[in-house]
Amino acid sequence: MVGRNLSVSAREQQKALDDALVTIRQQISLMKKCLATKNKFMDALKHASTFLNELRTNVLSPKQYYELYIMVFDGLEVLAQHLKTNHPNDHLADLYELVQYAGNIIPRLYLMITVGTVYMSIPDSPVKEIMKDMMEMCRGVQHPIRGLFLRYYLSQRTKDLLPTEFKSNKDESIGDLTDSIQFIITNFVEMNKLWVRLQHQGHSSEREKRVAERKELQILVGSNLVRLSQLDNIDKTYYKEHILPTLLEQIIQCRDVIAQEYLLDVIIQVFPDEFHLATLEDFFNATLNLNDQVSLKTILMTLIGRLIDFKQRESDTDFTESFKSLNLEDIFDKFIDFINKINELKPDLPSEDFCVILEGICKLSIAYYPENFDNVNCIYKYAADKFKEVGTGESSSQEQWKSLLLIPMSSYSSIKSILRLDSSYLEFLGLQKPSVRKSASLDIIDCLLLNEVKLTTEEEVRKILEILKNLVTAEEDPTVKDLGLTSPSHSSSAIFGIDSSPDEKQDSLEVTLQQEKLAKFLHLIYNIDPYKHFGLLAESKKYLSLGQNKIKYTYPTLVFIVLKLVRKLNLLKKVETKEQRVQISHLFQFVSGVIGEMGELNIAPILRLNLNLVTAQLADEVSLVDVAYDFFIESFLIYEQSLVDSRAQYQSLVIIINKLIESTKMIEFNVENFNKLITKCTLYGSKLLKKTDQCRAVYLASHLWWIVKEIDDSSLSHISLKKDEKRVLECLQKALRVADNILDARASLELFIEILNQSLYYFIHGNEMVTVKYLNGLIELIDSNFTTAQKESATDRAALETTHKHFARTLKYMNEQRAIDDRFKEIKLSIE
Amino acid sequence: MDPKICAPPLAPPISPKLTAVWVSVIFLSKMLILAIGDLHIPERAVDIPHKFKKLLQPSGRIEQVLCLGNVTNSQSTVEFLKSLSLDFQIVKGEFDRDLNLPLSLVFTYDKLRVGLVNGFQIVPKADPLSLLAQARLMDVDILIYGSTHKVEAYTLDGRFFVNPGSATGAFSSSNMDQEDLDTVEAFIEEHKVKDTKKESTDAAPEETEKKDQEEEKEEKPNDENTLEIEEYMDPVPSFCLLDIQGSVCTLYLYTLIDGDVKVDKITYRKEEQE
Amino acid sequence: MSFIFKSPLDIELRLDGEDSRETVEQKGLKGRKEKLLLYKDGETVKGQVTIRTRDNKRVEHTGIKIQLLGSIETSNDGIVADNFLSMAHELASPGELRHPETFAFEFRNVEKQYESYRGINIKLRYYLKVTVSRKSADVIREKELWVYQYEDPHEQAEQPETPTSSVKMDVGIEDCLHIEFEYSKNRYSLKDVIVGRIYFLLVRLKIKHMELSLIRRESSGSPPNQLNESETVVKFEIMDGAPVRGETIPIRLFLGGFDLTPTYKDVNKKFSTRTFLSLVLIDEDARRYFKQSEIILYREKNE
Repeated sequence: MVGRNLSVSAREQQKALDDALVTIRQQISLMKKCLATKNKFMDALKHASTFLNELRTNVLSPKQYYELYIMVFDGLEVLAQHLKTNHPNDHLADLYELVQYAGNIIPRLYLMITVGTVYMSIPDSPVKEIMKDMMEMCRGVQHPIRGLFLRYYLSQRTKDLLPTEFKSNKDESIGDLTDSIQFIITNFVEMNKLWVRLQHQGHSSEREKRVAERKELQILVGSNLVRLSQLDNIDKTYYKEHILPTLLEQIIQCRDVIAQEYLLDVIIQVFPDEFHLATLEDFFNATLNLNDQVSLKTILMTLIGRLIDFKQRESDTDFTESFKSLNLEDIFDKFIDFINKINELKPDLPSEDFCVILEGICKLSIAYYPENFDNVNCIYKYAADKFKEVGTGESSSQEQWKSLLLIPMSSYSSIKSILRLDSSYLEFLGLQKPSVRKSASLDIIDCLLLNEVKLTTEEEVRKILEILKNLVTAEEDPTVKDLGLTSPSHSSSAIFGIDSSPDEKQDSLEVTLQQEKLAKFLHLIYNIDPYKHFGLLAESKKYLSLGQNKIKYTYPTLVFIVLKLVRKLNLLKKVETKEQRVQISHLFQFVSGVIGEMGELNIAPILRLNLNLVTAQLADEVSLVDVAYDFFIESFLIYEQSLVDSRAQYQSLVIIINKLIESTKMIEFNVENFNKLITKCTLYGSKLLKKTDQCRAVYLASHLWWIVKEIDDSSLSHISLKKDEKRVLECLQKALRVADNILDARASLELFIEILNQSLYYFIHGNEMVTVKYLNGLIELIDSNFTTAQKESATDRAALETTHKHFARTLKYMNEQRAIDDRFKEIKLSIE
Repeated sequence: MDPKICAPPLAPPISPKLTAVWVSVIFLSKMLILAIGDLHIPERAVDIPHKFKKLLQPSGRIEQVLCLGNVTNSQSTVEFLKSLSLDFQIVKGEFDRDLNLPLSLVFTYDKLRVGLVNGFQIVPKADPLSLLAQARLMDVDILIYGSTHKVEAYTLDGRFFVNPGSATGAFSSSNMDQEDLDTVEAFIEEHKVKDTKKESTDAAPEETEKKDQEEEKEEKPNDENTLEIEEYMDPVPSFCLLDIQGSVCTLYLYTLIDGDVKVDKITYRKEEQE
Repeated sequence: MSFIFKSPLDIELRLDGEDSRETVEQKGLKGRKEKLLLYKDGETVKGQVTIRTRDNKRVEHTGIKIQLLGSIETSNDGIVADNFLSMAHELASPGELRHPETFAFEFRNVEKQYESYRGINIKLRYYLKVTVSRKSADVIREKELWVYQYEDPHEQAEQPETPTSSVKMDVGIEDCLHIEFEYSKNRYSLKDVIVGRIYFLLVRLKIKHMELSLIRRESSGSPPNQLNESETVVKFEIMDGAPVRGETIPIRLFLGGFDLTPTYKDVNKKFSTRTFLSLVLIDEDARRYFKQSEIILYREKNE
């Protein structure tokens, strides 16, 4: 055998493996032949010994060695079966001695174990002695890989043969469960030593390779623990007193990082949860004595994960049963004691890991004591203290701290439980960097939204807003400040612009998204009682107002929620008595205040105007026509004072017109006010800057004097709420004049055609002042203007063509209407 | 003449199972145009319903997104819509604050011209004659408009009018339809009846199951002040998909009713003209 | 030697109970295995000698005798035999042989004070020798017997110079290796088992294997011309791989299956055979480190 050589190439290894496999295969088949022949048993043994010799190899990787092992195992299984069926008891004892003459230790011990375990399987054999002897002799193999496999073989072979009962009157030679446990533990200890030793062999440059090899071999070591866990008749007391201490001692003593991490993990995985609960302190103490490089966090999280699963797996009653039987006081306290110890004994533990551990304990407490909020408070207190001590730390740990903040959201069955925590949570939150706080708050909102958690009491709303306060409040963006940037809009501003006044700065995309989420959150505030609901909204507004400029993101949502409440109250017939009307007016006052606050900050004028309009609409819906009037007036004021962009002016005016048209209650109950408004509105139209806007605004305003309401879908009847034919015509005429004054012939014509279309609306609706004669005049006018325009070379012919097509489409439509409306037949259509 | 006469009757409800097949067939076979709008996030709604998002998200079959506006206060929603197709088009709604957004857009698909407006500039709002005038002005065969939060599709004077409604079922400040008001009314009435009924059944506890239900209800305060009627007040969330081939447009109307997605199909064919 | 010429006589030497008597298998000349009859000290050796003439020729002789000889042959410089035992019986007076004749013989209660032994330079043999003396050339027929010498362990135990308590040795190379080598006793019967352990107190060597071997050392002659020959009888691997400090390696070696020789000291002032237990450590560079110590072997009486 050559020494473990660095230069053994993969190819050579493969060759060695193939050769060995061939030899083993041949020898197994020769052995089988001999076993089948009389008096050839000794030869069979020789063949067995020969193939076992292949296991003495030095050049294979653990995986390759395992291949050999598997084949050898099968071969030995044949031998064992033969022994079992063909050899009487006494002979086996001799045979056990006989095979020990083998000169090489590896074949000798494999044979010995094979014979020994067959011997064990026979009634009245000295099981205990055989066990002891085999175990003892295995010490002769000190080579890590060969030793591990040999002992694995021992473990596999003895698997079903070890005594499984405790016996009070011990038959010394037979042995009992105690001996089996001893046997497995010894094997475990020895295997672990070999496994750890592998790390220290060979050249230091091959460290990585050895780590990999050890990982491949770990399962051999772990199998002993699995075997232990499979022994029935062990209770948790026995485990605590006799098994765990030995295992932990070995694990601690070996000082090896890989071994400690792996084996503790296996212990957690294989033994029953009840055992873990019964031995928490022992386990904790052990973890405090591990190699410093061992990830305490990983081990503890595995344990905690197990315990939480246990709680969740067991049905509640079962769990209570088994939990009670453990007779434990608060396991949480044990964890806290443990944390104290960590703090004391492991000052170098990264705060990130510490945080993960706290997180785990927090989850555990929630799983085990969902009603005990003190536990969780305690964790946050702890976290806060620790945080004060270590500071914000590396950026990588920030995520961890944040994750700890979100535990209540993910762990409690009711997300609202977060609201039952005390100030420790807030304190801890408050210590975090603003970015962490924000991010955590956003996650909290996401979680609430995802689960559609409704916040129904003032306390809940207040508490949650206290947590979310960091999102609400207006903080200076530190980067902007630092870099001396005044307008961050150049960098990553929102996708769409806003109707801001020029001096209103645009927020970053980040802020916009945050505020959007905050606004969404407001929809979670709910109480089935509309007035209580309103109270909650009023409460939350107190917080939102801290946002200063940011209220433009959140206040509109408040307005709409309140308006919806208004409608709800109306539907519930709660706006009928005088008292009720007074009560509901508080809602409108609130809205007015909200919009007013935005006004004070002089932000988002178009938005404010629109908010006033929708509020007016709702006020009209609930027949508070005076309130509606006030809100209309408010929007007019904004229109006059704050809208500077002509596009904004025109669009707002169109919106106002539409809202007024819909304000049917006002027309019904206070037409004077209504008339004031529409007059004013029409006037605004005529004062618009651009002539085209003026013209359109005025012809659209004509609708304000001609308001028709459908009564029923099926019948074609409608009520005319407002029917001022004269004013309609005046508007149309005024629009025509404006259009006529436009120098650009095409633009002028286009507007004429639009007015023609507008006129057709009234014609169809039966406005008697919009007559056939009027329409004919209009068509003639357009015709002649086209003729004039076409002569003027200055006009863009293509554009004119487009306009003319519009005219043609209009005429065509009129022509088609002749089929259903005889009146159209009187109109002279200029199309041929 | 009332345009509602021309509106095609909505297809009978398809069973949920069939709907699922339907939906997948649609998404697998064709490139489609999505018409969606009036989302009003976050002011009036939290998000596009999850079931809609699930339908839309992975398809990759959406050729173009036509957005009818009232969405731009939610950057996240805009990003979602933009993620559905490389071609994202939007017109300005009354609550969109960017004045640079177009008020109307026209696209030509095969033999059809499609116009897109939010509808706030149509006076009176959603008035069929005004819409018709708008369609004439824009010279479009199909006019997609919004702002009423009511899903609707009808043919009038040879043109096709499509309102995809509000994808979030957002609260609308306009007066509710009589039909919807009647529904709410009926619901409230029903609960009043139940309340009175309850007093009578208290004495006769033979139906235990029913009694259990009543007991649950008892935890909540009783007077009608506290009825949950939000569900009946809100518009139905909806959006549309258009599949245009030649001079035919197949329109799929998606609505979310009682938590289930319902799909209706309407076909519009442009009459060939001399 | 006596068969170079074709012998005129055929001598058959039969011992009583030849078929039932215990035998010992020994490697004979040219590696052939032969079975030899086993005799004990003080046991009578008896049998018959049958002599036949060939081709019915008459053969004259000057007398026929049978001898029982015990000799030690040393091959230091040529073979020198030295008889320590010599007994003889006259079977026939001088005369003529014409027909086959059978003669019974008996050596009563012969003292056989040494065990038979075949070593490298030494052979200790017991044999019967029939000699038909003739004027021309004698006709000789020999037959070897094998003799075991048994020891009563109880007797031996009383001898003060051979303690039977366990043997413990501290062995080491300074700052490099330090082991404790311990085994149960220093006297073993040939069917015994050596049990012991190696305890590693310090290991800085990169050990690859550890073996036990049993070495038989045969010495003959007397100083200064003493000749020593060593032969490894048993080689037995007891450890594979490198142990660490604190490790204990068990030793168990069954002796029964090996061809071992009891310890003889100064047999007839001619030779000694002794057996040494040797512990060998082989390191990764194939260097061997060993520690030898003598063990006394003896043949134990069977029940």
